[in-house]
Amino acid sequence: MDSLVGFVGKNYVLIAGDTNAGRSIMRLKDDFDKLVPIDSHKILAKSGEIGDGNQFCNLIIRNVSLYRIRNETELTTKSVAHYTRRQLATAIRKNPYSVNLLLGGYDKKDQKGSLYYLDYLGSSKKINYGAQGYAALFVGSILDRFWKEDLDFEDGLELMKKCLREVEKRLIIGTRCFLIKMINSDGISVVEKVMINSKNKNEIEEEN
Amino acid sequence: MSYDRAITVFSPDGHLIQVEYALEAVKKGTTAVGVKGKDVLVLGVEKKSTAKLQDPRTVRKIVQIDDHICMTFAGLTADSRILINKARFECQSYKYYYEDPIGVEYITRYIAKTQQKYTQSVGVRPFGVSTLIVGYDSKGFPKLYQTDPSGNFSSWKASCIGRSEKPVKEFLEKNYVDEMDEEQTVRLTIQSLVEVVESGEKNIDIAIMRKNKPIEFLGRTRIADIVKEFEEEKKRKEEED
Repeated sequence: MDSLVGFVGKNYVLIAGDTNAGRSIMRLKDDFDKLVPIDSHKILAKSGEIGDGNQFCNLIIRNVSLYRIRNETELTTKSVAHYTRRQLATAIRKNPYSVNLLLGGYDKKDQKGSLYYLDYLGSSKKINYGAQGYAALFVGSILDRFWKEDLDFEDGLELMKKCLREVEKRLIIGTRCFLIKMINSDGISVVEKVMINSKNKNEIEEEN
Repeated sequence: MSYDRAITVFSPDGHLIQVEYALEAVKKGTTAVGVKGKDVLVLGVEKKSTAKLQDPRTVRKIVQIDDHICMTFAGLTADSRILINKARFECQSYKYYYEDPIGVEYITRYIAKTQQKYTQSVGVRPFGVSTLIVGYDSKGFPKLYQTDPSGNFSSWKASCIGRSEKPVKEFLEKNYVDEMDEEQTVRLTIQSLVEVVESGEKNIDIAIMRKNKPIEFLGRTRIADIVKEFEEEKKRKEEED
C-alpha cells in the first residue's frame, strides 16, 4: 500500500513517498513522513510494516551515527546500502524486518547522487530510478520511457509528478498526498508536499 | 606485605592500592584543562611532543563523544580509547532507546560507573585515566565534569588533570571568575597551560564548545597570537617592576 518513487538526476536525488499510514482498511495517519534522514545527505525511504520500519531505520541511523562519531567521517551511500543490506540479510532467517527500502544519498567526494533498492529479503541493487510498493507497477514504464541521465531539477520534478499522477489515478487505494524530498550537495530538503486529484484533468494542487 | 597483587583486596589501612597507583599513572600523563565560562566551555591539552618522523595529527587528545559532548583525558592513552569507545556507544544507545540526546551528567555517570566496575572485578586492573567531560545540559547550561580511576565524578567550574595538576589548579583558583565570556575563558585556559607546557604554544591544543554548535579547534596562529600577548604583558609588568 505504500508507494515510494525515486530517481537520480544531475547532482541530486529525488525521492517521493505517499503520506498515508494505514492498517487493514483504516487510514491511521495522512501526514506520515516515510522519508527518514539517516545523516545530513542520505534518506532511507521505508515501506511495509510500520513498526518494523521504525525499529529498523532507528537501528541504521544510530549505527551510522556511531560510525561518524568514532571515525570522524561520514559513510558513503554505497557503504550504508551494503550495511543496511547486511542487517536485512542476517535478519531474514531469524527475525525478519518486513521493510522495503529506497536509499538515496549524495556523496560529496564523487559529487554524485545515488539510489539503492533494498528489500526485506536482503536484496540490494544500485538503480538510476525505481519504486517500492504498488507504485512500482505503474511507475516503472513511465520512468523507463522518460528518465534520462543528468535530468536537471525542473525536468526531474515534472517527471516525478507525472509518476505520482499515475499512481493516484490507477491505484485503487487512495494515496492522494505525496511528500517529495531532494538530496543534493546542500543536504536534504523538502521539495513539495503535493495533493494530487487526477479528476481535475491532471491538475496538481500544492499544499503549503 | 604488599596488597597490590589482587586489586579486589583492601590494604590494612583501608586503601585500594591499585586505584592509588592508577592515580599515579594519571599524574604522569600530559596536562589537560577544562574551564567553564558563562555560556562557553573550553578544553585545553598539552600535547605530548611528537618524534620528528611522527605525524602530529594522529595524536588527538580532545575527542567528540557525541555531537554535543566532548571529552579529554590524562593518563594511559590506550586505556582512554576503551572508555571513549564505550562512551560513544552508550550515547548512540541512549538515543536509540529514548530518541533524546544523552545528558552530560548521564554519560559522566556512565563513564564513572565503568571506571568503578574495573576496581571491583576479578582479573582486571583499574583504568589509568582521569577524564574531563564537557557539554550542555538539558536546560542549556554549560557543564564540566571530571572522573578519575576510582570512579568518582564531580562537576567543576574549572579543573585540571595530569602532570601539572597542582600549579595549574592553583593558577585557576587564583584567576577564575564566574560568568566569563568566550574570549576571557579561552585566554584563561591558554594562560594556565602556557606556563607549564614544555616548548610552549606549539604543543597546546584548544577546543571551544559552544551551545548547539559543533566543537571548534582553535587555529595555531590564534593560539600563538594570544600567547604573544601574554608574553608582552609579562614583559611590560617586569619592566614596571
